[in-house]
Amino acid sequence: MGAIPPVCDFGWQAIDAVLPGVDGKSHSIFSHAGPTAWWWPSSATTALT
Amino acid sequence: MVVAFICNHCPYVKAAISRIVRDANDLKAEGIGFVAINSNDAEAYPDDSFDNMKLFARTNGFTFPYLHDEHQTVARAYGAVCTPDFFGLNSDLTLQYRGRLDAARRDAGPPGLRRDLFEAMRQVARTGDGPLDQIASIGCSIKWKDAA
Repeated sequence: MGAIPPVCDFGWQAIDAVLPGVDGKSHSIFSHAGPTAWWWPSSATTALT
Repeated sequence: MVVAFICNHCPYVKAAISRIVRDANDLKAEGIGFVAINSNDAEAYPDDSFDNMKLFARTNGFTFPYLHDEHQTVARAYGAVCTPDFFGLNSDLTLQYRGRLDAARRDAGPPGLRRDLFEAMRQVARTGDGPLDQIASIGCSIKWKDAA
Protein backbone atom coordinates (compact mmCIF):
# COMPACT_ATOMS: atom_id res chain seq x y z
CA MET A 1 0.00 0.00 0.00
CA GLY A 2 1.43 3.34 -1.03
CA ALA A 3 1.42 6.66 0.77
CA ILE A 4 -1.01 9.35 -0.40
CA PRO A 5 -0.56 13.12 0.03
CA PRO A 6 -3.36 15.27 1.45
CA VAL A 7 -5.67 17.30 -0.75
CA CYS A 8 -4.34 20.48 -2.28
CA ASP A 9 -3.99 23.35 0.18
CA PHE A 10 -4.84 26.02 -2.39
CA GLY A 11 -2.93 29.24 -1.83
CA TRP A 12 -0.23 27.83 0.40
CA GLN A 13 2.85 29.99 -0.12
CA ALA A 14 5.72 27.85 -1.27
CA ILE A 15 9.15 28.22 0.28
CA ASP A 16 12.43 28.73 -1.50
CA ALA A 17 15.62 26.95 -0.56
CA VAL A 18 19.07 26.44 -1.99
CA LEU A 19 20.10 22.84 -2.45
CA PRO A 20 22.97 21.02 -4.15
CA GLY A 21 22.21 19.54 -7.53
CA VAL A 22 23.62 16.52 -9.29
CA ASP A 23 25.41 18.92 -11.66
CA GLY A 24 27.66 20.00 -8.79
CA LYS A 25 26.05 23.43 -8.49
CA SER A 26 23.79 24.94 -5.85
CA HIS A 27 20.28 25.77 -7.00
CA SER A 28 17.58 28.02 -5.64
CA ILE A 29 14.30 26.20 -6.22
CA PHE A 30 12.53 29.35 -7.33
CA SER A 31 15.27 30.31 -9.77
CA HIS A 32 13.87 27.51 -11.92
CA ALA A 33 10.29 28.71 -11.77
CA GLY A 34 10.32 29.62 -15.43
CA PRO A 35 9.25 32.79 -17.22
CA THR A 36 5.60 32.35 -16.23
CA ALA A 37 6.41 32.99 -12.56
CA TRP A 38 6.80 36.40 -10.97
CA TRP A 39 9.88 35.69 -8.95
CA TRP A 40 13.21 37.33 -8.51
CA PRO A 41 15.78 36.87 -5.77
CA SER A 42 14.69 39.88 -3.75
CA SER A 43 11.03 38.88 -3.67
CA ALA A 44 9.26 38.68 -0.36
CA THR A 45 8.75 34.95 -0.50
CA THR A 46 9.97 32.90 2.44
CA ALA A 47 13.23 31.07 2.10
CA LEU A 48 14.85 28.40 4.19
CA THR A 49 18.39 29.22 5.23
CA MET B 1 6.44 25.72 -11.69
CA VAL B 2 6.47 22.16 -10.40
CA VAL B 3 8.43 21.02 -7.36
CA ALA B 4 8.51 17.23 -7.44
CA PHE B 5 9.70 15.09 -4.58
CA ILE B 6 11.09 11.91 -6.04
CA CYS B 7 13.85 9.42 -5.29
CA ASN B 8 15.85 6.76 -7.08
CA HIS B 9 14.60 3.51 -5.62
CA CYS B 10 10.81 3.77 -5.29
CA PRO B 11 8.92 1.50 -7.73
CA TYR B 12 6.28 4.19 -8.26
CA VAL B 13 8.93 6.67 -9.36
CA LYS B 14 10.79 4.13 -11.48
CA ALA B 15 7.58 3.21 -13.28
CA ALA B 16 6.76 6.84 -14.00
CA ILE B 17 10.15 8.43 -14.53
CA SER B 18 10.08 8.46 -18.33
CA ARG B 19 6.69 10.19 -18.25
CA ILE B 20 7.88 12.61 -15.56
CA VAL B 21 10.83 13.61 -17.77
CA ARG B 22 8.56 13.89 -20.80
CA ASP B 23 6.11 16.13 -18.97
CA ALA B 24 8.89 18.24 -17.45
CA ASN B 25 10.26 18.83 -20.94
CA ASP B 26 6.85 19.71 -22.34
CA LEU B 27 6.11 22.04 -19.41
CA LYS B 28 9.46 23.76 -19.91
CA ALA B 29 8.50 24.37 -23.52
CA GLU B 30 5.46 26.22 -22.20
CA GLY B 31 7.52 28.34 -19.83
CA ILE B 32 6.73 26.30 -16.73
CA GLY B 33 9.75 25.32 -14.63
CA PHE B 34 10.38 21.97 -12.99
CA VAL B 35 12.74 20.81 -10.27
CA ALA B 36 13.02 17.42 -8.59
CA ILE B 37 14.14 16.91 -5.01
CA ASN B 38 15.26 13.76 -3.23
CA SER B 39 14.82 13.99 0.53
CA ASN B 40 15.12 10.34 1.48
CA ASP B 41 17.47 9.13 4.18
CA ALA B 42 20.37 7.80 2.13
CA GLU B 43 22.01 6.11 5.10
CA ALA B 44 19.08 3.78 5.52
CA TYR B 45 18.42 3.64 1.76
CA PRO B 46 21.77 3.74 -0.05
CA ASP B 47 20.05 3.59 -3.44
CA ASP B 48 18.99 7.17 -2.74
CA SER B 49 22.53 8.46 -2.16
CA PHE B 50 23.77 11.58 -3.92
CA ASP B 51 26.04 9.49 -6.15
CA ASN B 52 23.09 7.35 -7.16
CA MET B 53 21.07 10.50 -7.81
CA LYS B 54 23.71 11.48 -10.37
CA LEU B 55 23.42 8.07 -12.00
CA PHE B 56 19.60 8.14 -11.94
CA ALA B 57 19.49 11.59 -13.52
CA ARG B 58 21.99 10.65 -16.22
CA THR B 59 20.34 7.30 -16.98
CA ASN B 60 16.91 8.86 -17.31
CA GLY B 61 17.95 11.95 -19.24
CA PHE B 62 16.97 14.58 -16.70
CA THR B 63 16.82 18.04 -18.26
CA PHE B 64 15.88 19.72 -14.97
CA PRO B 65 17.72 20.15 -11.67
CA TYR B 66 17.77 17.12 -9.40
CA LEU B 67 18.44 18.44 -5.91
CA HIS B 68 19.54 16.75 -2.72
CA ASP B 69 17.64 17.65 0.45
CA GLU B 70 20.08 15.89 2.72
CA HIS B 71 18.71 17.36 5.94
CA GLN B 72 15.07 16.91 4.88
CA THR B 73 14.26 20.51 5.76
CA VAL B 74 12.64 21.22 2.41
CA ALA B 75 10.49 18.08 2.51
CA ARG B 76 9.34 19.02 6.00
CA ALA B 77 8.65 22.63 5.00
CA TYR B 78 6.55 21.49 2.05
CA GLY B 79 4.88 18.68 3.95
CA ALA B 80 5.97 16.17 1.35
CA VAL B 81 4.56 12.74 2.01
CA CYS B 82 5.67 10.36 -0.69
CA THR B 83 7.60 9.89 -3.90
CA PRO B 84 6.42 11.08 -6.29
CA ASP B 85 4.65 14.04 -4.65
CA PHE B 86 4.01 16.98 -6.99
CA PHE B 87 3.57 20.62 -5.90
CA GLY B 88 2.22 22.74 -8.75
CA LEU B 89 2.73 26.48 -8.11
CA ASN B 90 1.30 29.47 -9.93
CA SER B 91 3.10 32.65 -10.91
CA ASP B 92 2.84 33.91 -7.31
CA LEU B 93 4.41 30.63 -6.19
CA THR B 94 1.36 29.56 -4.26
CA LEU B 95 0.11 25.99 -4.36
CA GLN B 96 -2.49 25.18 -6.98
CA TYR B 97 -1.96 21.49 -7.71
CA ARG B 98 -1.16 18.57 -5.44
CA GLY B 99 -2.29 15.74 -7.65
CA ARG B 100 -1.00 12.79 -9.57
CA LEU B 101 1.07 12.65 -12.73
CA ASP B 102 -1.53 10.46 -14.39
CA ALA B 103 -3.68 7.43 -13.67
CA ALA B 104 -0.85 4.89 -13.85
CA ARG B 105 0.50 3.70 -10.55
CA ARG B 106 3.21 1.07 -10.36
CA ASP B 107 2.56 0.15 -13.97
CA ALA B 108 3.54 2.04 -17.07
CA GLY B 109 -0.13 2.59 -17.93
CA PRO B 110 -1.72 2.39 -21.35
CA PRO B 111 -0.67 4.72 -24.17
CA GLY B 112 -2.64 7.92 -24.39
CA LEU B 113 -3.21 8.20 -20.66
CA ARG B 114 -4.51 11.64 -19.67
CA ARG B 115 -1.62 13.78 -18.42
CA ASP B 116 -3.19 15.13 -15.25
CA LEU B 117 -0.19 17.11 -13.98
CA PHE B 118 0.64 18.52 -17.40
CA GLU B 119 -2.93 19.61 -18.11
CA ALA B 120 -3.34 21.06 -14.62
CA MET B 121 -0.17 23.11 -14.96
CA ARG B 122 -1.23 24.42 -18.34
CA GLN B 123 -4.41 25.62 -16.65
CA VAL B 124 -2.43 27.14 -13.79
CA ALA B 125 -0.19 29.01 -16.23
CA ARG B 126 -3.20 30.25 -18.16
CA THR B 127 -5.51 31.22 -15.29
CA GLY B 128 -3.43 31.24 -12.11
CA ASP B 129 -5.71 28.66 -10.58
CA GLY B 130 -5.45 24.89 -10.44
CA PRO B 131 -8.34 22.53 -11.12
CA LEU B 132 -10.70 22.01 -8.20
CA ASP B 133 -10.96 18.30 -8.87
CA GLN B 134 -7.62 16.66 -8.25
CA ILE B 135 -6.72 13.05 -7.73
CA ALA B 136 -3.90 12.53 -5.27
CA SER B 137 -0.59 11.02 -6.23
CA ILE B 138 0.44 7.76 -4.62
CA GLY B 139 3.92 6.51 -3.90
CA CYS B 140 6.48 5.28 -1.42
CA SER B 141 6.58 7.19 1.84
CA ILE B 142 9.40 9.68 2.34
CA LYS B 143 12.16 7.87 4.22
CA TRP B 144 12.61 10.12 7.22
CA LYS B 145 15.68 10.07 9.36
CA ASP B 146 15.06 8.92 12.88
CA ALA B 147 14.41 11.81 15.21
CA ALA B 148 17.48 12.24 17.37
